[in-house]
Amino acid sequence: MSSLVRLPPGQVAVLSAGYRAEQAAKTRSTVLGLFVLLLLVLTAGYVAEVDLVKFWANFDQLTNYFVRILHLANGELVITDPAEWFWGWERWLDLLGETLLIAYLGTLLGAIGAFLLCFAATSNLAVNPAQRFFARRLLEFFRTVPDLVYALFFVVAFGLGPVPGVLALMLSSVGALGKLFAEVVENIDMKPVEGAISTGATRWQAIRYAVVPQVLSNFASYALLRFEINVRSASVMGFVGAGGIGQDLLEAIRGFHYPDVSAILLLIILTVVAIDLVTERIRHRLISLEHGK
Amino acid sequence: MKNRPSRFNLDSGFRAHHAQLIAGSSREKWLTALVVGAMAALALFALLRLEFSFAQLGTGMVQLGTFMSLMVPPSPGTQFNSLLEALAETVAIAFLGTLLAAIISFPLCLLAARNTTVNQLVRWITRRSSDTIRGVDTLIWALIWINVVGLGPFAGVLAIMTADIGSFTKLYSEAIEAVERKAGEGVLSTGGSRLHEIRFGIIPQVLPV
Repeated sequence: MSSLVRLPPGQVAVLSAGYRAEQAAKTRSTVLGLFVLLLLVLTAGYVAEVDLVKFWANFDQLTNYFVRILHLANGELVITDPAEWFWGWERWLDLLGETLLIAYLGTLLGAIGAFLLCFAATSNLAVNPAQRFFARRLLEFFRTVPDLVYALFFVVAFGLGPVPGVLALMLSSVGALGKLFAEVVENIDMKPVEGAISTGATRWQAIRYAVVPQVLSNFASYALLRFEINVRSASVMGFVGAGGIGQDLLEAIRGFHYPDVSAILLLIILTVVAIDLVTERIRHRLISLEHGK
Repeated sequence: MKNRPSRFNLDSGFRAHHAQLIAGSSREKWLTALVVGAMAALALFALLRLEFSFAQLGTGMVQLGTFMSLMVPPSPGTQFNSLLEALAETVAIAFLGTLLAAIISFPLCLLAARNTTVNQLVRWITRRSSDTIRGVDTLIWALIWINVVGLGPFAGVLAIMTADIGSFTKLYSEAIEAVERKAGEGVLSTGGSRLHEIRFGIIPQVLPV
C-alpha cells in the first residue's frame, strides 16, 4: 500500500548507526566545549575575585547610587530645580566643547597619519616586504597601548591640559585607522593602478589618481566611526589630567557631589548620542555613494 | 620625456571634445574645497582654543625623549611575579566581562532588532537604553561599580560587562536585521511559532557573528 520506497533493513541499520555515531560525537564535543568553558570561567572568576555574595548583598547600592545622583542636596528630585541641578552649565558646556575639539583634532591628525602609513602596510602597494613588516608592527604598537596610558605619558612630558589628550588620541587613532585603511586598500581593484603605472606615474601619483578615488569614501566612513569612539575617550581624558570634561566628572564622583554627576553624565550622553546620530547619517550617505558608483 | 612621440593626438580634438570630463564638475570642486576648508578652519580653531604651542611641543618632545630613555632597558626588578599576577587578572577581567556581556545582551538584541522584537515600544526602549549605556565610558562605569562591590578586579569585570552590553546589543541587533528572511519564513510555513522562527530560522544565521 505504502508508496514510500523503503531501504532494506540491513542498509537502514548501517545508516542509522552512522547517524547515531555522528550525533554522539557532536554531543561529546559540545559537552567537552562547555566543560572547558566552565573551567575557564571558574578560574577567571577566582583570579578576578568575583564575589557573588557581596554582589547580591550590595546590589541595592547600585540602585541607591542612581537614586542619589537624581536628588539635589535638599532632598528634592533634580528635575524640580533645573537651575540648581545645572548650576555649572556654562563651565560644563565650555569643557564639553573642549572635549569635542580634542576628539576632532585627535581624529583628524590620526587619520592623516594613518593615511600616510597605511599604503606601506598593505600587501598590494608596499614597496617591499621589509617596509610592510615595519609599518604593520608600528601600527600594532600604536594600537596595543590604550589611549589613556599614552595620555599619562604625555601629561608627564607636555604638562596638564588638552595637548596630551589630543596627542594620545592621535596615536591610538593612527594605529586603529591605519589597520582599517590598509584593509580597504588591499581590497581595491588593481587595474586602475596598473594603468596609471603603465603611463609612467610615480608611486604617489598612482596612489593619488588610481587608489584614492576608490577608497576615499570608505576612509571617511572609518574616520567618522573613530571620531565617535574618540569623543567617548576624550570624555575621560580628564581623569588623568589630559583636558576635557573628565576632570570635573571625576571630581564630582570622588567628592560625592551626586547631582553634579548626573548633570555631567547627562550632558555627555546627550552629546555622544547626538554625534552618533549625525555621523551615522553621514556614514550611510558615504556608503550609498560608494555603492552608487 | 619631451621628445617621446605621443601615440594619441591629445592636443586638438580629443581634449576639446572631453573638456568637461577633464576639468571635472565645478560644483563638485567647490564642494570639496568647502569641506576641506571647513575642516581646516575647525582644526585651526581647535589648535588655538586648546592652546597648542610649538614651544610646549618642543620641550615636551625633549622630556618624552629622556622619559623613554629611562625606560630602556625594561627591568621588572623584584616585582616580576606581581606583574605576572596582574597580567593574569587583566586577562580574567576581559574574558569574564566580555562573556557576561555576550550572554546578557543576547536576549536584549532580539528585542532591539526590527524583525524579532515584541513591539515598537519595547524596541525603542531597548535601543535608547543601549545608546545611553554606550554613551558612558567604561572607566565611568568602573567608578560607579566600585561603589557597589568595592575596590578590586570584580568592579572591572562588571564595568566591562556593562559597557559591552551596550555595544553588543547594537552590533548583534544589526546582524539580526541583516539576516536572510527566507529561512524564518520556511519555519513559519511548516507551522512553527514566532519563537520557533527565531530559534531555528534566525539564530543559526547570526551565531557565528
